[in-house]
Amino acid sequence: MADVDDGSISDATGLLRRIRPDQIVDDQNKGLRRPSSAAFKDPVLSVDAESLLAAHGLDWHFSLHGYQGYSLVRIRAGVARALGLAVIPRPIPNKNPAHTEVQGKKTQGIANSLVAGSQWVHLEP
Amino acid sequence: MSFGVGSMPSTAQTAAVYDTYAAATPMRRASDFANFRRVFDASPERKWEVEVQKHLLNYAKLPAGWDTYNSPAISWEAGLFALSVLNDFMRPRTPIPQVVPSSSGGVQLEWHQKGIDLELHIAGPYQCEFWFQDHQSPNDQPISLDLTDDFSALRRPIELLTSR
Repeated sequence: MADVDDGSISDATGLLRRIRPDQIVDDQNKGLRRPSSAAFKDPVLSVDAESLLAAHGLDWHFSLHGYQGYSLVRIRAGVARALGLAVIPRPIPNKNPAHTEVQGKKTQGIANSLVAGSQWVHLEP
Repeated sequence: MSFGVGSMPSTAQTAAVYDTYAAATPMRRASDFANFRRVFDASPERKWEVEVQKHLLNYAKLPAGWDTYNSPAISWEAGLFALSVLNDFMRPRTPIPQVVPSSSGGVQLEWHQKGIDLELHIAGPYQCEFWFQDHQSPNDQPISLDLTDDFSALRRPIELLTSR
């Protein structure tokens, strides 16, 4: 499968990423808990595309199923593309029909822009 | 100043008590408190070492795929380098950084307090990325740098974190 962003995942689609508890930081400047930019540094960042989940009758609960203690964030595909990243569907047969990769180097600036563009879908207390 | 039963004074409270006591007892010379001040000033340094090492030791045990995706195991060399950098730049009373495992296999030291966002992503020895923003200087743009051999960019943010 080619590493080409063919646009099949719309800019408005939410991309879901699980966040480990130790990748959540206390941001005292903003007075909130948020994902660390370190959670987005993988040059081949795995996410689940909500449009693909919906096409299979699934929602965000699928992304957290079996991952107790994890939180979940949503980033719009358009946010990633605006940062020069490619959004490429990569379904995993019999396991995850919504698996998608956000490809490209994530500098600290880009990783922090992904943080700024993210919102919690589920935040563990 | 009094402390409730069962509550521990913060270091700031302890220092305030010390300063109040020193000011109210002019017969005592500053040198009388030299040992206390030395221990007080040194304790945060010991605290960061203990705290940071605890996290790094935990992260060193993580297997590949620890973030439920494709993350490589955390580089032990990155952890050791993080300690080396902190040893050079931390000062007494510099806030302890948050230590976060990176999904690319490194570690990240970060501070988000006192109007400062400071991050040092360490992929390995001399393979670092620096991110700094001072929200008290809103006209200043965030600074994003690759740090390989010159780490002097850390000096000002650490000074601000320590003194502000």
